[in-house]
Amino acid sequence: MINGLSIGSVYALMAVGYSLIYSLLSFTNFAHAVAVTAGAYVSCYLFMYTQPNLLLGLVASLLGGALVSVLIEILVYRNMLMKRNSKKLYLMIAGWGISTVAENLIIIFISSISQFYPSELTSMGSIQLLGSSIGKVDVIILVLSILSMAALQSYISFSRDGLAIRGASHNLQYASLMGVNTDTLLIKVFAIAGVLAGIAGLFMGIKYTAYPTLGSVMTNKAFISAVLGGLGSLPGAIAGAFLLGVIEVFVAGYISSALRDMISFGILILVLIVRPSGLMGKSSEDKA
Amino acid sequence: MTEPLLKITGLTKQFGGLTAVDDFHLSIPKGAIYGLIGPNGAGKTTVFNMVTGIIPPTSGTIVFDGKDITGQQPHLIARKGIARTFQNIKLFESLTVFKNVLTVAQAQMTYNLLESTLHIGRYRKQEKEMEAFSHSILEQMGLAPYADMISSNLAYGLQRRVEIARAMALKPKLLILDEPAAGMNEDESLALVELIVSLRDQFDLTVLVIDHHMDMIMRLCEKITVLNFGKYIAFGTPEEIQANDHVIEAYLGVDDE
Amino acid sequence: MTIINAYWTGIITQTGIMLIAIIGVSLLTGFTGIFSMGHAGFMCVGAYVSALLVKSCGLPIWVGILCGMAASMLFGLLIGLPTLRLRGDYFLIASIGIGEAIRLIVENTYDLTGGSTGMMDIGRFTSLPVVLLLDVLVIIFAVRFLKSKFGRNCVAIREDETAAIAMGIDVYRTKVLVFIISCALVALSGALLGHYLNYVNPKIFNARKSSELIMTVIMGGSGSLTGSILAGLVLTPLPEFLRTESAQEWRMAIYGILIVLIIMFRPNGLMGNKELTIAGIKRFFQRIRLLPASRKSAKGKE
Repeated sequence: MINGLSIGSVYALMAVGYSLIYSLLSFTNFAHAVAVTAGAYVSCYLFMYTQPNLLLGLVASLLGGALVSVLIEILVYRNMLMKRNSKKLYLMIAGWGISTVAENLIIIFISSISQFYPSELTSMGSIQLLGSSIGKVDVIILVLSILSMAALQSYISFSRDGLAIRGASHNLQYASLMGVNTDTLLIKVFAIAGVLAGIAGLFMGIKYTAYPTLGSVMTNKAFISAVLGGLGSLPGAIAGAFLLGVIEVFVAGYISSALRDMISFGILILVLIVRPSGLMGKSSEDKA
Repeated sequence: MTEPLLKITGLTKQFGGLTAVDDFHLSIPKGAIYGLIGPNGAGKTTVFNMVTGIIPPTSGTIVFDGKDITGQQPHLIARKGIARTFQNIKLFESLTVFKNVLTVAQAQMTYNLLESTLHIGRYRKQEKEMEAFSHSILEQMGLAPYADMISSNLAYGLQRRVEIARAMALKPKLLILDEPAAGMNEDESLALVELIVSLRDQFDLTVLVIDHHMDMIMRLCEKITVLNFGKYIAFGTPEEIQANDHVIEAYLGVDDE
Repeated sequence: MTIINAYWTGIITQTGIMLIAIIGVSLLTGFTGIFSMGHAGFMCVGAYVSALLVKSCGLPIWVGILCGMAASMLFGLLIGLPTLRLRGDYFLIASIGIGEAIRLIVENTYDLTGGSTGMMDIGRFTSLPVVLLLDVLVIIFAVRFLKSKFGRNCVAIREDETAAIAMGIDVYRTKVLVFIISCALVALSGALLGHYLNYVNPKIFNARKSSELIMTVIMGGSGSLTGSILAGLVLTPLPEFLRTESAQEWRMAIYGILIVLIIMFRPNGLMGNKELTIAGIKRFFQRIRLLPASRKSAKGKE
């Protein structure tokens, strides 16, 4: 159960980033995966040269994730967003292209083999709680993830930028008319998404090692979570992620681990068909 | 008094908690040219979108040519004889003017995939017929010289005209024009008025127009309906509308460019 | 001498096989604007259904291939009916799920399909003349499809879905039709590949294969059949000539960069025919000139 929640909380970190960007630009940022992978690799490499220190890794990963995410926004998406008539689908394809490039460059320049984190981080032993043994790693991940999301929530609720983001998610054009600088706003949003993705990358690296397709495999899950909860809704994304994490652990534990991924994709397709706006999303009708 | 071609009663649309159109009603007799005006955000396009089936109404009924078409699928409504143009031109941009028209005219083709793959049966005959039909529409609308140009390369006014030509390819009974004169200068919009009237006369058409160009609306339309904040506020001849206090109030301080 | 010949025959045959799949994706993605990221899954269906029928039921291989196509069409219909109602971006996501699900089903039905090890000795059938003949037939079919009302409906949907539906085009039905056709074509390609290699395994039809298909079509130019064919002819045999270490990865990385650049600057594709290119440039400049006018009209938006 804790295991499921801990995985769910990492999915949530990524899903929130997806949803945040979707709420502003209404497209699915496939390049989100790159930020996750970057987060995983940055720390992994850092620990080869320094003492493994979770806090240090956290800072490095979140910076790495943010940097990658912002770079992609500035170099690729901004150009496309400026164009009239640029279809949302094209943004998705571009993001997917970026993540393909990144995966293959990692294989070329690093290796296709999994990179292991130092054992100090991966096996910290377990604690006894209510008669069952729970991995310390899982607990730490769960706590830190929840803290990060709480930080994000308070940032969006209370800061000036948060206000701008909330306003812009209603209508980006109006926000820019109201004097919000959408360029810097988008950079901030991509940075936030990148920070969360970087942290998620670190945690995923600790749990599963760092490998080239880590980002795309994991963000697929995050994406399913975001759809489950309703794209563009942050609380929905979080709820969807926890739900998916717990379902996966139960399916893997009680049915078969091979079925796990199939069940998650099955859920995705089912939700898309039955309720495309997600379980908690509000349905919207496009104006022609 | 014959049955009206289009009869809208009690039409209402709510988006979330917001009522975009409230209890709207309108009947258009066959062969008439009617206008629908109102300040920005009054819900005019929403009415059009409901009539053409792009969005389903929350309540109310739309009867066209004696049949209830409320909430039907848009392509079926189009085939029943309601063709439209869009406020922000929606041509098949990378196609030629001719292909734009042909693609719509082919709704009348009945051949199947086997016939078109093997070039047998009805394929050749129908293709020829519809090509000729499309050329004749372009001819009538003065677009023949542009037939082979990529539609998005044309000047703005011409693109509007192509959009009307494309709508005419459906052989509609009712033509709905959403701000046809937007972005046009005085001369162009005058030419547009002439075009619409001549199309009505030639093709036995009924026309419903939204526009912000008051001059044009007043010159073109026999009767005008005014919407404000989703509510019907007035109906009458152009002279009546211009003298109506509610209408003047609705437009007060609004730049009707 | 014979070795070189066999080598070249192999390359040409495999390119010819892939060409069929590329044309299938071109109709769907290039002409209708539907991005499916799971089409290798339908290749997989075609290859496995044919392999199974030939190996365990002893059917002639050409019957197996036809059954593989039929199965893929049926499967495509079942999946397409609900998912093609979705908006384009949601469909794209669902299609990733579809491709992965097909692969996972194959990997997890060990008794039937041999799981991740695949199936051996499924019978050889595909030879160069057969492939070339099928290529010609498929190209003729595609050209005639595009020159019919069906093809024009597809293009109208790609250009502007709202306009298409308001102009009486049955968008949903057209999408289902072209989706099934493309399923049949990629299944044909998958089955031919299986009966060329004499084995099938799920790795052949992984997500990378889906990516390759769609990338080839985008690079060839959406809406240009000749572009897709040319891109297929150039890009499919390319890795054969780049036999360096990690050539596959380099190739995918470069494709990826090209895709991003193309989508950013010329979403209609790189290698449209010459007339198209000139028109494209003209349109680009005309757009710039028209920008003030269109802004003005946008102001009148409701």
